[in-house]
Amino acid sequence: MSLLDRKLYRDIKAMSGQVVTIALLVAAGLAVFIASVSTYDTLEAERIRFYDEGRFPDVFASVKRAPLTIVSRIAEIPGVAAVEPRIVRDVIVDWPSSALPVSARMVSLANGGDEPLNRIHLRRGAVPRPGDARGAVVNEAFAEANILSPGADLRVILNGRLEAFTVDGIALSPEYVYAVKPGLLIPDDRHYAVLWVDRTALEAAFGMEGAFNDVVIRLAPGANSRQIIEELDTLLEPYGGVGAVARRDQPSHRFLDDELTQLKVMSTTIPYLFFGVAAFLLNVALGRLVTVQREQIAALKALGFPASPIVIHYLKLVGVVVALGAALGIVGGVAMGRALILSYQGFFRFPDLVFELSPWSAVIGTAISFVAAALGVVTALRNVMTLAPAVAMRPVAPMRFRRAALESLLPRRLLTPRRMMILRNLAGRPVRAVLTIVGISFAVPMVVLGLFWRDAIDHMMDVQFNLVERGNATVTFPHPLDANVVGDLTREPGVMLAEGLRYVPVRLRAGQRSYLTSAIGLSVDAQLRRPRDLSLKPIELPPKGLTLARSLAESLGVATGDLVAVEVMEGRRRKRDLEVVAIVDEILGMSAYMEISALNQLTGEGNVVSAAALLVEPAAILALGKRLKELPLIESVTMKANAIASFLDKIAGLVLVSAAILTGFAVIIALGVVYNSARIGLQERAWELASLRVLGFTRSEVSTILFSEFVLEIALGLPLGLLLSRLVVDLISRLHSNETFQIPAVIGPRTFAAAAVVIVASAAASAYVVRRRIDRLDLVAVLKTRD
Amino acid sequence: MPEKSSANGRKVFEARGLSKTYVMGDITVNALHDLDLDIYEGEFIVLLGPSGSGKSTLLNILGGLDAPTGGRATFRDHDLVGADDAELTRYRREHVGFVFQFYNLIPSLTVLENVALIGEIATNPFDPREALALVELSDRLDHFPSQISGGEQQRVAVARAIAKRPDVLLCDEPTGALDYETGKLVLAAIARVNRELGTTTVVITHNSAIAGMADRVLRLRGGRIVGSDRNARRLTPEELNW
Repeated sequence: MSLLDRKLYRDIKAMSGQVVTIALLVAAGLAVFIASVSTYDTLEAERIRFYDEGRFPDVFASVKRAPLTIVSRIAEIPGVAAVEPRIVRDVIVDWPSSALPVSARMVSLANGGDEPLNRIHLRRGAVPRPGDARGAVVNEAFAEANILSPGADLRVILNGRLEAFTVDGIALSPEYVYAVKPGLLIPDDRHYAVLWVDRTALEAAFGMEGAFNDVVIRLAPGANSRQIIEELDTLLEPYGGVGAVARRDQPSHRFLDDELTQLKVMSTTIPYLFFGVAAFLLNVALGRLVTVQREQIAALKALGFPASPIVIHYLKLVGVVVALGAALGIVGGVAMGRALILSYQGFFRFPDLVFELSPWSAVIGTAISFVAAALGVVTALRNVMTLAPAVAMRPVAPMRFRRAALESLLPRRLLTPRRMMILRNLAGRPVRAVLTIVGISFAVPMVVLGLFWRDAIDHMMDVQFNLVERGNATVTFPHPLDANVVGDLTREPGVMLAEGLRYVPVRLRAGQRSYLTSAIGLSVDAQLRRPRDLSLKPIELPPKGLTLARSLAESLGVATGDLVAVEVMEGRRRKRDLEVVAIVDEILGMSAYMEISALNQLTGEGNVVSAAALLVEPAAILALGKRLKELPLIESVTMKANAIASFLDKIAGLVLVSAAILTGFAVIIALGVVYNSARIGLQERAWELASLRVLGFTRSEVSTILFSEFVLEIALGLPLGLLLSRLVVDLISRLHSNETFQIPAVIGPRTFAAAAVVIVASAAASAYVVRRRIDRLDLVAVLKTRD
Repeated sequence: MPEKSSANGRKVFEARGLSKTYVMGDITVNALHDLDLDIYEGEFIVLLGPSGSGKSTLLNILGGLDAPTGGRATFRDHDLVGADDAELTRYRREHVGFVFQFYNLIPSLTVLENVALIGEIATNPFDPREALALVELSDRLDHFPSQISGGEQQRVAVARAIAKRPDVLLCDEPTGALDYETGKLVLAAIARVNRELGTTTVVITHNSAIAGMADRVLRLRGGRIVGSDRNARRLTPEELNW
């Protein structure tokens, strides 16, 4: 071992606390980077593999009823590589063990599961053979949530008749990686199933012999999906086509895609925050080390050492810190990635989702850490290396103090000498004070980021389930029914209020832009469904014209007063130009609202409803659920309590894991900043503090003088951090929000309080460690040395 | 045998069989060796000895900064040997004023504030201006230590040390870092404190010329007191020559 290396070893031992806290920061940045990059790569690779294996289609279209004979015409559209017609129906499952109605999407199979498109991936059991109308395959999420095995019986209400099926197999499908009930955002696996049955079963039940109501298409490479969708829509229009969509708008794919985009955002933002703070701390810590060792360095230079071994010596120190951080970061990143993948398995169902470390992320991450750290020490080193040895060998000129500007602003009697020491020390090193304050403020958004989801979710729940959907159940009908049905529902036991809703599939066009959505018809005096704007004021629907959610208006590029071409995608398929009369800021969705009679006038179907919102006595809700299961007119039932429970259940684990991880990082940052500042502060002022001890100041009085600086810096850093949190949460909510889901940038007072507590506790822990060093100050030594 | 004092004051310090041994690896250093000592109220003592004679160790023990390895030492009714850190801190706070070779002023405080700082922990302090007038520094109140000379800094240190009206003033090589003229000014300040306030004063130095201003001169060598002289007449600092 060379002598410089021996010196390195001893320096590291002497500053082990600083080395460890800085390495932890590097590790935290690296862990987030590795975990998010690798999780992204893992999910993306598995998605590509599964889409490929399952022959995931490119275009999806629904019709009312089309003859199979037109399939060949679809296949002739240039660019279409494969066509698969299907029968898809939303049904109710009679599931005796569940008090609440279970809905299911029933999908026909024509080839015993080995379909040309959307081939299912069998996990257990078998797929009913073509012609076997009694067997069914169940999606794995539902089977797991309800402990269902092959051989079990399953009864489904098909077109009003109870039909019995046997569960033959349990499977996955690329179409239902994220199996979410239409209209919900989070999968409710206990109450929502995907059932695959042979098409003969659905043909018979729904009178679909020789026909289909759903078609999926695979495109040839390079085909223009937009053009094909247009041709397809023209072709399917006579059969009640409601407009084809590309992959981008397929629900499962969209959720998966959005999640992957968010992961990508995460891997390109948060790690840099850590790298930045780590570089800052390395800079300060090494800067101080170099200053302390300035005379040694000068002596080495005077003895004839060239600059390069000295520079390499200090870069080795950086290397040790980064290597330690990288080792911890890779281990932590893999653990975090595994935890993330585990929590994703609850949302996304893939055949073989196993975390795989992307080695390049570890290499790149370590390299970024090293460069950030090396940049941090360059300044400190350059300062020493440019000094002539004779200059460097003299002690550093003492810092010049002056009265802090702040003093003149404070009342005289508050300015005791001790307080002035604190103020002037802060003011005397403004750059360091600012950097410490900034460092502390960086820790705050970490805690806030971990916890604000809770606030955002609470807010969304409150808005969506208490203010917007004020009923506690929603029923949908398989086709529009006369509005009298609402009156019938009111007479069901326990129903206190029922209101009709109208959903009409429409294509909105403005210039070149178009968007396929449902127009929602509400009556002006609706009580149970009241859309709200961002300030939570109820939206008053004008009797005429369209009211658009802001995200939809932006996507169409229209403003109030503009005309939008509304094309009804069902029934008589009328087209009208309607004026945008209002734009509203909503949390959920890309909704278009109309007054219900205006909407019915547009479709020309008279006074009809597609769904009803119900307010049910809480005690009667279970009995009503059982009763609704038997009503043939009802396609699906959503119970609010249920939706909330499943939402919380799904999200709780993920929120908890990410909150714990981020809070851990906040602790690392706060510890790193405060501990290192306190250690450096103590190192620089040991002489002064020991002098005070000799003069009769107690340990705690002396500690107070040193720590008051940090109290002040924390007192300034916290509000700055809260401000920063606001910006970060705003940014994250903007980056994470998508068309269907606007994450509200809400930070609750609890979250701010938790952040403050975490930072203060970490600082207190650092202070405690440094305090023990203050207690061990050598009082005799300071009298014999000059600072 | 401890020497009797001619001053009629009460005994302030008493040390019997005092020893201090430093063990550093294989090397054992006897800094103090079976030392006896009495100091009386109001006395001006100069502890004279070359470096390594143990004079600083003795001063540190008397000042409550270090503990002996053997023997006993008391300040009035305070036991300086068995006391814990908190008791020693209180002892220094209430009874001892220190002046060090390198002044040990707080660089971020002005002259006046450095002295006022001590007022915060003393029960009956001087007005800091009064203390500074005693060392003739009334015209430098708002200067920072870095803006005044070493001699002036040391006089601030003297003013700071006496501001709390200590019972004893302990000075460790107070002129060690100063030139001849400024050294004399500092000694004059210390002598004035002893004379006007009656503060028992112990000055350690290797400069034998300073011995002339003491009531008693104690000579240290090899950790023992090897000589004790009483000056018939205390010289004023102006009369000293080195």
